[in-house]
Amino acid sequence: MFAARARSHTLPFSLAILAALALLGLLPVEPGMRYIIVLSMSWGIAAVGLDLFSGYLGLANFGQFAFVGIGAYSITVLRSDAHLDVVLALLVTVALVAVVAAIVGSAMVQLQHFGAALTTFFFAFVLFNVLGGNTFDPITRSAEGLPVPPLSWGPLDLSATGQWLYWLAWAMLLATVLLTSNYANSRAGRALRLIKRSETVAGTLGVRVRLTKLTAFVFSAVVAAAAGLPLSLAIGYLAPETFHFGNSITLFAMLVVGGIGSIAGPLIGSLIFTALPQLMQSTGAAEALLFAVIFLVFVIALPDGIFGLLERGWRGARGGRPPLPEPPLYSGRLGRLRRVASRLNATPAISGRPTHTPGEALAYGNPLPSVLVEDVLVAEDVTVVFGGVRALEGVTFRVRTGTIHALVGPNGAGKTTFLNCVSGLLRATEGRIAVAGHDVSRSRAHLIREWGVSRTFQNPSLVADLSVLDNVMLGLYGSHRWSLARDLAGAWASRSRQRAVSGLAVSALEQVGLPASRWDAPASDLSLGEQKAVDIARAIAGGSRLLLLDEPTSGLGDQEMGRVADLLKRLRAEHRLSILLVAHNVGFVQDTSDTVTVLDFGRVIAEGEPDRVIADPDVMTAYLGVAEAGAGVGAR
Amino acid sequence: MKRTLWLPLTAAATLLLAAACGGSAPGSSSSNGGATAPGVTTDTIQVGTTNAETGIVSASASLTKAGAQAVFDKVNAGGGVNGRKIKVNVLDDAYTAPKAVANVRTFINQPVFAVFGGYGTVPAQSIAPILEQAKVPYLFPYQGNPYPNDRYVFLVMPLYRNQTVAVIKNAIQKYGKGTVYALVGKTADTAQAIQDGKQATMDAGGTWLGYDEVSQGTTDYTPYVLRMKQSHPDYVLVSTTPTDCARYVTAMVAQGALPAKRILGLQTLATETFINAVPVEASRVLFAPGPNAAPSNKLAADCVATVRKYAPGTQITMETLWGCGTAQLLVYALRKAGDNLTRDGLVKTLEAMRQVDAVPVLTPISFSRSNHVGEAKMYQFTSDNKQLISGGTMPIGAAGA
Amino acid sequence: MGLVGAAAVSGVAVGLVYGMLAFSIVLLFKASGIPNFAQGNIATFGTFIVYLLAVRSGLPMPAAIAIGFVGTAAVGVAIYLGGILPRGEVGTLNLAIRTLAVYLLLFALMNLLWGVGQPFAFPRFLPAASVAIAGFSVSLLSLVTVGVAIVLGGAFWLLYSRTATGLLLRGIADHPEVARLLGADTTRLSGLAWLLAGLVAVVVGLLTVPTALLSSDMMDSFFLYAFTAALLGGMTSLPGAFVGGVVVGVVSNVVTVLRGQEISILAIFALLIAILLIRPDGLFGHGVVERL
Repeated sequence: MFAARARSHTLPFSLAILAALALLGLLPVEPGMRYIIVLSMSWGIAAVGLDLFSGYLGLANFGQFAFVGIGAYSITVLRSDAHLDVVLALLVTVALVAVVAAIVGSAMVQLQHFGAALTTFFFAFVLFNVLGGNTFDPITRSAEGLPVPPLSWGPLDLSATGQWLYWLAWAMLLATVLLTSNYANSRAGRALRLIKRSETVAGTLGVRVRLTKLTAFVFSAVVAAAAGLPLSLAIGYLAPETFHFGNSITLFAMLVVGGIGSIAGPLIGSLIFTALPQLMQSTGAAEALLFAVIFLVFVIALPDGIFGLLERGWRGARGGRPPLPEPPLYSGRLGRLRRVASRLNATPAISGRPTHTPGEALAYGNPLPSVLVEDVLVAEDVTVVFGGVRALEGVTFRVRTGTIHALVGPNGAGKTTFLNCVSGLLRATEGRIAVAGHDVSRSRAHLIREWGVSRTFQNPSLVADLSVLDNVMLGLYGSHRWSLARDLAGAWASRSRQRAVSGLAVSALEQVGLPASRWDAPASDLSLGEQKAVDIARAIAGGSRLLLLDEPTSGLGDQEMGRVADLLKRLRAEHRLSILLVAHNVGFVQDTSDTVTVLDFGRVIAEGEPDRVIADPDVMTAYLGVAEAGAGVGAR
Repeated sequence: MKRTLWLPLTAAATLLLAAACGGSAPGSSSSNGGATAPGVTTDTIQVGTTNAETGIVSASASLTKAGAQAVFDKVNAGGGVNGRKIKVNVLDDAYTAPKAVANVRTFINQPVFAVFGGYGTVPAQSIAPILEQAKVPYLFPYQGNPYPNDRYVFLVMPLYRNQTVAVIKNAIQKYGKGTVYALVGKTADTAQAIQDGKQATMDAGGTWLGYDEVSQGTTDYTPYVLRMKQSHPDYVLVSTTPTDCARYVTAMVAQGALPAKRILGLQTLATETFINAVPVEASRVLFAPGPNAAPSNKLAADCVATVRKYAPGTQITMETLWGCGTAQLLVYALRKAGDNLTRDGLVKTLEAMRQVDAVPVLTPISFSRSNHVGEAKMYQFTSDNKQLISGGTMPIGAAGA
Repeated sequence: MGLVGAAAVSGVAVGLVYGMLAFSIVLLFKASGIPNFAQGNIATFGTFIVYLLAVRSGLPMPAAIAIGFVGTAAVGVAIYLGGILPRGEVGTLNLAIRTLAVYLLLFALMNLLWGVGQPFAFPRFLPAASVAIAGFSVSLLSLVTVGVAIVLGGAFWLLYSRTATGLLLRGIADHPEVARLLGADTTRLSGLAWLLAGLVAVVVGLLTVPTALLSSDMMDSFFLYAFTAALLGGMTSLPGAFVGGVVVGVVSNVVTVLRGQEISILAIFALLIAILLIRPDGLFGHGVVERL
């Protein structure tokens, strides 16, 4: 739905802007200008928080400023009526907003596409009316307005005319940028970007999609509420008009013009949109038109915003793309990690409980000896009905552990539907599916992932703006217990996990044979063959006992197909990984598979060893419509 | 990481330079050059106006500004006040608090001698405390909310609550006793206005049926009209923004729900904006007070001539005359304050005014230490075929009077 | 109950106005895949054109309306050609934000050109009379609204089910790739959709302006309710838009009459969330399948 690129590691840019703002704060700027910059820093806090949700998760949120309003009013009322200390008022407000956002958000994340966008906009409209209405009149003073008591914190005068409000706003902005940057560049942030790419794929990798979206929503709401503090102190007076629902759109415009999905971009956007009008001093109507035009031009022609322009300019100044390092160079910031990882071929010590019970072996990714089940996958009488269509009808077969089993059939036979059932994306209408002896017929995708089922897709669905390595690391999303709080604490706090995870990702990439020179490339640069290889690496990196491959060879040439075949055979031989693959290419199937099941119109029509099955007359009829022995069948 | 920094740093530095350079507002040097007070030099008096130049109320707000500017131009053409020309710095606040506050901060820093005019509740409420604290006189904004404890804030237009009392009393006196229903917009002082209105109705021998409160964002006034309609009131008091008043009244006509006697309102209804926006059946039954005379009234002749000469092309409406009248009052006060012009001196001068009749288009102005609302009378307005007619005045007392 | 009944009756009328605007939103959603946030302001802009022609240029009302139709349709097509068609590889969110920018642009433009003196009273093209129906007093405007809605709905039904163009329009909505393969000129068809949406918009504007008074932000809350109606009905269902509109109109009017406007807004919000949670695709819509 949303194809704009998000950016990793833009912290240097953001810090540079903050440094400039700090410098500005030290200069003797006139109070009017100072006030404007405090306002724009407050907007900046809200904008950066919104960027996480709309830029990295890619969902529209047109109600962010409503949370600023709730924050501003709540803090002010708690300070003036309940006589709370400002820090306490802020904490109580944060808790309150988190609850409100959780309620609104839990409804919102279940909605599709623009239903969610409208809900947030309506929420902003509702809040605007509530602020000006009767229900909360005693608290908010409604249209009469609420004066904000001036604040001093110890010796620091934080009132609107004091020197220190600037630094309060600046410090809060810095904190917001750091937290958001940590979030965006961590495991949690990668999960957001994967959800943006494909919610379904994210589900199969163990991401709890709705919970993740909700968490991101609550984060951006809480950040917005915090922005209410410097905003209310600066203006000194709260009226409903200040939190008009149109402001949420203005906030969004700041994101787009600054550069959505870059954290630094919204900073730039908020400074420009708030500060520039003061510098222009033109009549408001022309200025409003100018901003609308700027907004429109940027959305159409410069969707990457000002940040994108700066980035392009910098790259142009450096003379084009830097040459990729030669293999087997371990260059760049990952160099040391890679060297370390490839020396530790065994699983490095990882903190946190692994999610798999010891004694149950994972075929790939866990070197512990195992007690294996004879049939890694058992499907009994699986039937799937969509509306009037019976996509699968009484499908029964088994996949023996440590073998490669092919599922073939003409287009529309139900092969991908079956894979969807096994991986938990679809619930069978009737029948039973068991993985390693456990009934997973009613289980959700992320639980099935924990049982060791991983899959690839016809469309690899890699996150285009993440590097290959980052994409593969997503495969390790569910492999350790981790929390958002640790992600927010920053890269240094997560370094042990980071090391372990990237080590495992590196081994997976080495396993699939992708050269090290490609590991830092953004996934959008990859050829289809490379993307499919990365998809497989992502699927096995976190450990797997049953790998579901959906058309691993479609679109590939002979040579690449051969490489995939070798890889699969290696995985089977060296790691006892069981593989269920859906393929069209007969030669490939003959080369790799131990057993084959043939589906036609949702029914199993043949099963057994490849050579025998291919010669089966029923199979030939299904594929070719003609029962001719040997006709048209042969390796490509 | 070093390489990534130089371009964003350059960009940030450029931004910083722009901000620092653009940060100096025109005339921000604080040297006063032979001044007696901030904003006053030997030959100028600097005044600041924060006005809704853009936004929904901008039509009315720009008329008040134009009317005032015509007066200042005329005065300056004649040599100014005590040899000083009046210069007005007008900044747009788009009827929002943050912008109004920003403008006022600029004014305090510029500095201006006083802040004059402006339109509407929201900006006024947000800047009054700041001006009071900075001891800068805030003079004659177009709004009717009270500032009881502020020494430096002076209003001309009577408070909304007092207007409510007066219009009900006078209507009942003129058109007979009856039932009253009110539609009130949520602005400051609403609760007090409703209470006072109810009391006034009962005191005058009428019956108070009830009221509805509306806030912004109403799409369709029909439900409110339906609620009012079932009580069949004699008088309907409509007291909200001019646009919403017009919408409500239009819906009244569409539903055939005009009151038996009269539509009552506050000064927002005694405007051409309202009259032109509602069907003629409604404007015919209007009765509302206005702070200044109608353009057709001979008391307005002086202002009309001034505006025609010094701001040709400006529409002459109630708002224009308000701007003219309040500007004339300011000029009068500045003259009276004398050569040695200080802010406190101006305050004292204003507070000494008793029944000053120097501004024909306004009613007589009185201020005192305890009363900072200038007018004690307002003109009575009715309408006939899309024209405002001002006939006589009605007294507006303090609350409850 | 008379009060509630009267509110419900007026709610149906205003609900049909929401419904018509919602209809145009769904029409565009099916054609271009995005919600058009500027649809409300397109309606206002078109109404301004009619107003200026009728009042400032003195044209007779029917002529002004006719030219207004042409003008608004042209605005719709212009937005499509200039803003939506050149899309490159951006996703639907980007396109939706473009319409948001157009919303702001139209608003600023109307303020700049015609801001002074708002709101304007639109010249009456209907007598302000009411008719008594089943004991309720129904305004003439409401009756005309119902009539227009029926005519509009009927015309589109004919278009969609009986004409080749209509069938193609349905095709590009549900299966754009297939439609293209079958030779449908999707550009021209999408342009046609935007043109039709512009026509519906100006009709909605003209039906709204007698009670709303003409101002730049006339359609702001109307648009919000219309969008809600579209979502309630299902963003992919054209008749659903009308149903959604009537539901929103009746609920909001009845609740306002009983409890005031603030509660009514909360009620509509709650209704929106409830319906979307129970039936995410709205009452009559169908989902969009993701190809893996």
